[in-house]
This record gives sequence, C-alpha cells and structure tokens, in this order.
Amino acid sequence: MAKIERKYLAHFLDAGFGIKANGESTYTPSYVRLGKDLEEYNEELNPDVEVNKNILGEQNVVHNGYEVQSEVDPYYAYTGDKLFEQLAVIANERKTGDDCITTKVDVLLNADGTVEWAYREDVWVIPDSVGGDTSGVQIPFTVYNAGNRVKGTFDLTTKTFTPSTDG
Amino acid sequence: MPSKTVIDIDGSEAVSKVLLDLLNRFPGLASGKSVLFSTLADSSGIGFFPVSGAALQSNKEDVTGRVKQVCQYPFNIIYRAAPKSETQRIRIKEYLDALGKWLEKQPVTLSGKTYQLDAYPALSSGNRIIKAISRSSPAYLNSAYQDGIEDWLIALRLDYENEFDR
Repeated sequence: MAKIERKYLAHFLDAGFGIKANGESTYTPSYVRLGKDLEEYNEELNPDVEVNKNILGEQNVVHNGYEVQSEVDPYYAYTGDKLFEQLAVIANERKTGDDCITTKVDVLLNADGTVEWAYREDVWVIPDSVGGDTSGVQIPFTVYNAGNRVKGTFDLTTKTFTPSTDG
Repeated sequence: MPSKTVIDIDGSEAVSKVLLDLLNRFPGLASGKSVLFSTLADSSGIGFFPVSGAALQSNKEDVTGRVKQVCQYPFNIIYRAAPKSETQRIRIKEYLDALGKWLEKQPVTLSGKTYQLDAYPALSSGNRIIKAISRSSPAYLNSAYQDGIEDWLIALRLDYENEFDR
C-alpha cells in the first residue's frame, strides 16, 4: 500500500470572487491552485466537542460541528497572479462582507491524474497582512470555510467543478 | 556522520559559462584582455577558478510538488602580475575589490566613470536564476613567487535558485 504524496491533495480557490454577486448559474469561476511556496497547508477542522461524564461515570460527547479554517502563509505576489490582484483589492480597499466570499475546491487526485473525489465549499478569504521581508511582496491570508459543501467532480484541464446530481 | 555535499552538476556547468561571459563584461577590463577559465599565463593575467561545484544549500518542496533548490557556487578570481611597487600592489587590490563590488551590483567608479551592473544574466539550464553574487573575502595576496610574480585573490560566491516539478 503506497503512501499518497502530498501533491495529490490539491486545493483550488476561485480568484474571481464573483459567486455572490453573479449567482452560481451564470458565473464562471477562475480556480487557481493554492500551495506554491507552501511547505505545509492544513485545513484545520477545529471540531467543537464537549466531553463530560454523568454521575454514573458514563462519558458523554457533544459534537457541535466544525469551525474550519486554513492559513496560507506565505503567499507571495507574482506578476499577473489573479488571486494576488483580488487579495490586494480586498486589503487596499478594506473590503468586507460579500466581497470576501468565494469558493474553494478540495480535490484528491490519483497518481494517473484522475480525480478521486472533489468537494466545493463557500469560503471567506481575509488577508492577514501586506508586505513581508526582502524575499518578496507577501500577502498571507486565512480561509474561513462558510458551509454549503457539496461533492462533485473537477476537471483539471478546464478547472471546472461540477456538483454531483446524486446529492 | 557528516552529511555529504550534494552538487548540482548541470547548474555548475551553466554557471561557469555564464559567469565567464559576465566577468569578461567587467568595464574595468583593459581592451584586449580577457578573464580565463581555470588557467593563468605564467607571468600575468586574470583567471576565474571554481572552488568546487555548485553545492546544494537547501531543497524545499511545496505542497503542489514544486521543488525549489538554493545552490551556492563558490569561486575565486586570481590576478597574476609582477608588481614593482606598493602602489601597483594597491592598484591590483583595488581592481579586484572593484570587480567584486561590480558583481554585487554596487556602483563602481573606474577612470572617473561610474558603472553598475543592472541585472545578472540568465542561466540557460532549466529554471535556474542567479539571485546574488557576493564577496566572501576582500582581495588579498595569495601567493608570491621568487621571480617577483604575485597572485592576488578575491573569493566570491554565486547563489542561484532552481525550480522544477517533482
């Protein structure tokens, strides 16, 4: 049984940020892959769990769901990078609300390049800082998952997500 | 057990060629003179000598499988001459120091004119990019021979990055 290399778990963010303004039926996302310059990227699930014991000594677990978020740090600015341009707009114009909402697709790839599974979810993208050291302009950001997670397929060539019809 | 130094052989070859061309573009080089690679005439001349190959300094892979390597190519430049006076020795030292400064992209003044290297040349091999050239030492007298010939040396290093998909 072979260990799956990290590069086969891919994360795509819609750099167009237009899902809220345009609606899913008419909007065409521009997915870009996250991870360049990142030696580690984790989607922190942050499960909200309460564990308590009743007077009988029985353990009771209350699971209230997840508060999923992930940090993209560092994120270097490259000329022509559409995601950087959008992040710069959010940071420079101190945008809030729908302007920070987009979608993210998590994809597990097989070694032959086919897609094992794909999930899309609404996310908030909030820049954390702008600047960085002498290695280059950086604009690290945090992705806060906002629900509406759906399973589907992802075309790596066209970078298009199609929700499953079977729910 | 000490770890073995990994040498980027393709990078070493690419750097040697490009660096030799760059050194021969030094504005302080007298007309008709050229910097030679790994050799020197018996009595005079300027040569550039790689100390070793391009040693791999770091090797990082991002989560997309993109590998970024940082390599270091140390080299020496030797100025061989038979200086007759202290003034000539000082001139040789200043010449080599000016060459080092120019390679660091600092402005240098030669014969009353200021020159500054604006960009490093592209490396032809793969996705290698020269990031910096810097001096490891000032120019100093490395060897003095009985016939009055002296070898003045300046040690430098060239740092470059290489990127590829694993």
